[in-house]
Amino acid sequence: MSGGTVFDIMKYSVHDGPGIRTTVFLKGCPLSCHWCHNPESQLPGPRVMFYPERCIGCGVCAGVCPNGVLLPLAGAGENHPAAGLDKCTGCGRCAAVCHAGAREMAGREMTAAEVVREIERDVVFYDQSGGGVTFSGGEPLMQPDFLMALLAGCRDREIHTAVDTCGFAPRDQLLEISKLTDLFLYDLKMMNDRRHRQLGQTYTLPDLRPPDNEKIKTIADRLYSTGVRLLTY
Amino acid sequence: MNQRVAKLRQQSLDTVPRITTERAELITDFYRSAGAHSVPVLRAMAFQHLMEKKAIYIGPGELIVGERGPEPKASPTYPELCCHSLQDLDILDSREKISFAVDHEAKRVYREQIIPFWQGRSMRDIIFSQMDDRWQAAYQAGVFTEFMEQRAPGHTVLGDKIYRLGMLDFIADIDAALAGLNYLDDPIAYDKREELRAMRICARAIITFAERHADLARAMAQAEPDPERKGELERISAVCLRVPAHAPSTFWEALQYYWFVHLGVITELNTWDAFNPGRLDQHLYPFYRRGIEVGSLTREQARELLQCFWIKFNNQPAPPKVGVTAEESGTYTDFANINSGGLRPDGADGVNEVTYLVLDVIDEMRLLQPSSNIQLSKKNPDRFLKRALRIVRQGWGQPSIFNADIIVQELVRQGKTVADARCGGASGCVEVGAFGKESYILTGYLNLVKILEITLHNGIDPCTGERLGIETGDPRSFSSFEDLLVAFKKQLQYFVDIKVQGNNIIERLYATRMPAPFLSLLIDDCIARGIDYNAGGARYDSTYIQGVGLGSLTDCMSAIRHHVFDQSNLTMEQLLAVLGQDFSGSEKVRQLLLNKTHRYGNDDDYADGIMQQLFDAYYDAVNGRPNTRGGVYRINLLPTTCHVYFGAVTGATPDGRKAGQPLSEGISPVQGADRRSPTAVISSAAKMDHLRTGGTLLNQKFTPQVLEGEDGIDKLAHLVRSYFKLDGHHIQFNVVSAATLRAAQAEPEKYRDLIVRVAGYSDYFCDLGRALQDEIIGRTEHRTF
Repeated sequence: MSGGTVFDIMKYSVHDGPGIRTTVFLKGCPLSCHWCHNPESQLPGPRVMFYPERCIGCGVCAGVCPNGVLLPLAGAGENHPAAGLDKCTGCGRCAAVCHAGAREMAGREMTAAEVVREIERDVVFYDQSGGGVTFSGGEPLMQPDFLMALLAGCRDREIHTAVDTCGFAPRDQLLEISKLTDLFLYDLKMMNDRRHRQLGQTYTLPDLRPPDNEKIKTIADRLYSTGVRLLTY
Repeated sequence: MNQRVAKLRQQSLDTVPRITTERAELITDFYRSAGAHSVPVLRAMAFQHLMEKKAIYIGPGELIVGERGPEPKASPTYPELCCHSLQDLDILDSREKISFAVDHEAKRVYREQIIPFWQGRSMRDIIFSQMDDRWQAAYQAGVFTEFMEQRAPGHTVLGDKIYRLGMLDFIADIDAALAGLNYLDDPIAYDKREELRAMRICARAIITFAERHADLARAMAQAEPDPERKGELERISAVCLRVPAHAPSTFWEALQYYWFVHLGVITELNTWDAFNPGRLDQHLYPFYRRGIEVGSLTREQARELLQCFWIKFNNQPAPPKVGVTAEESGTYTDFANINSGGLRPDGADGVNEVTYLVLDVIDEMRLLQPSSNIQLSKKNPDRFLKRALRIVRQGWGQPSIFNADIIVQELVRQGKTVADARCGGASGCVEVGAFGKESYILTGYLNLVKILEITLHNGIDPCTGERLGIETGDPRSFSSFEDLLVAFKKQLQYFVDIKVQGNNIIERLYATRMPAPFLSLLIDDCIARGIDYNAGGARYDSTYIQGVGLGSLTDCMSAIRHHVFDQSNLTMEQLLAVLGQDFSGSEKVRQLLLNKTHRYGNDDDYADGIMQQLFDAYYDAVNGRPNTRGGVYRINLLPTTCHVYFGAVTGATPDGRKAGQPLSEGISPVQGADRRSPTAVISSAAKMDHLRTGGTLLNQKFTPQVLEGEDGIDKLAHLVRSYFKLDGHHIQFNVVSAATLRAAQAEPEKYRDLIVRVAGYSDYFCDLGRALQDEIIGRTEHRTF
């Protein structure tokens, strides 16, 4: 079974579709909307997160950083990435030694089987409430094979699925996904193209073409015609 | 609520609790001149003396009448159980929380009359003098508490019989039982005769008490200029003449009958977990329906009467507690906990029109007392659950929610008939019982974490250096987690044995010295057996020891298993050294234990598997052992405020908890250790076999935003139903943000009416001790995402 990078798995998620849901946030997004509520999910690979309020200033992290990103500074809460953040490779050694949990990895590599096992733990809640799982992001279609494997795994187990997408993905991929998911949460960022460009988007991944809003709306229409349930917002 | 109710409610809220010496003086007068009677008859005559002599109070505007003291919130004392010293009275008067005003006159009465007569003779004095050294040492160290050291056993709830039978009917039953005594073949026929005579005196006495109210109401009616009030007083007088002598015929009479009975029970003795009407909605429904059908009652009148009834409970603060009892149960709340919904005796959906009326009353009255809960069966409609959750959402912790279907299974497992089990429910905080037919006595909390601390020191209490337990081996010599578990189980058994031995003596002390003939009248089958409630007269007899700190204990064991045995991050030697210094200079180790341990409450099978092993150990140590009343011991898991007291006497622990900090409460995870979601907490908690307990308590805290809108209610309803599908026993909610609670700490005067859920009850946040306030703030707050 394929694997991918998961940003987070959130249980008792009550605003991402019907019933009690588990939301699986897949890492990586083609957009970088300035209103994004978890911008740390935008980059595709694992990244180190820092929670200064948890830091006890023990300095162990600085001792293990292979790239000299972290400097040992005196006093609690001061072992922040003092310099050369661009040198951080996200190796995670600092997070591994941080007892206080001030450094944690955002994103981890997981197999689809592992993720499905995690999703399955809340089946009683989905069954009771008409809930299920929502794949969100980032943009879940940034990891299409992984997403397909997850959706297939859920379908085998009769778990209701929703895909929360911005629609910025190849049309054929979206149509393929539509065969495996019960519901699309189709996040139209902005109906006005000019405003869409203005407000939106600095591009996380420079090799991707700028989003064509007209195309996104067309894909939404097309998806709608396949009969899959589609909630736009 | 109408003006009458608003006024009575406000009066109840505004009145400061005070101590009245009325009962203490009457009981002392009685015993001074008491004749040579058997113990049960003496107790009955003492009750009669109180019922004949105590002041009668009928307040302006009241419809339901009768007070335990001479007026609302005047709390009597029970010197035959606990004789307060002058120092006690000073403490009660001056302590910051849960105080009682004590005036100079009261102190004089105590100094001149009460103390000289009762000192050395109260049950408290007798109990402490009868306990052996091992019991004393464990009690002093905070290994367990003792419920009966200043309050009487009495944990029970009334069934349906007062709605069918009057006291005169009970007297007829007693006379039949007396006539049937066989002095030739029955070796205890004499004891039965004395007990039955005592019950008969009590039945008469409560009729007299009601008649005195009838007389006063009639006299007040004659002097009353307002024709409307005059009519009400005449009606009160008529009601008090009919009940409790006869079975009630109206909604009003049914409520007034219950209230007289309630006053009788809480005046006879200071019983724990005060008595309550149990399934009030089902008991009242026939009277309600008949009243509506014949046009003698409107829904609004029924509501008003219920509201007046509610205020009566709030007028009775739990009588003053001192010493360890004040620590374990620091609240004015006396745990009368009214059940709604559930099942009917035939197993059908028990929700009716009165159920919704009761929920309206809970919502409008917003009083600490009575406490309220819903019994939720899979057969009950969602409308019922959602109506209750809309009250829960307001954030003051009521009603709590019980799994009616599982309670039936728990009771049947304990040997009750299916019909008796369906008439049962939950009371006190979360304790199950067969209402009207069971004596289920809670005897004290057991500090599970302290027992681990003692195990880790091979029987020594590190707080004092004293040997408290047995030698179960130096933990530094243990080669596996199993070694530790075996040692812990031995130590646990040792302390449970001490507690059970003490209990067995105390139960006999109450059976022989302090019977409760009035309570015995009310509980089946005391009359038929001719045996007192305190001596095994009830149809079912259970004795409980309440475990505290299961979440903390699990995390401690999980930390040791993971860091010492699995990963070798620490040696046992290092761990003990760090704990001995309360983590001083070892913050890194503390953070490791706190954050890198599998912890209960996250649906993590590593931690939850340990919880199951510990639950089994506790169950095996207690369940099924014989008590002295013909029944057996059982377990339940609830703390009241004891997790704070137990934490205060327990040193630093392997879960990263510093010395003196509170333990986890009920079966909830350690405060802040549950980091995943409410569904993960529920999945963890449901791995416990609730069916083998007599009650478990799960607290959850939400920020108000999560429960906004209809959608918020829907999803919370599904969460509750899911837990109950998994056989969970009980769940309750705090809906408040930590920010609000911190603001209330900073400026209490602005948050006087802020009510929160503590353990199995709600309380004013500002009435809680600082440690308990901090503990509630520290509980994980589930947010919306």
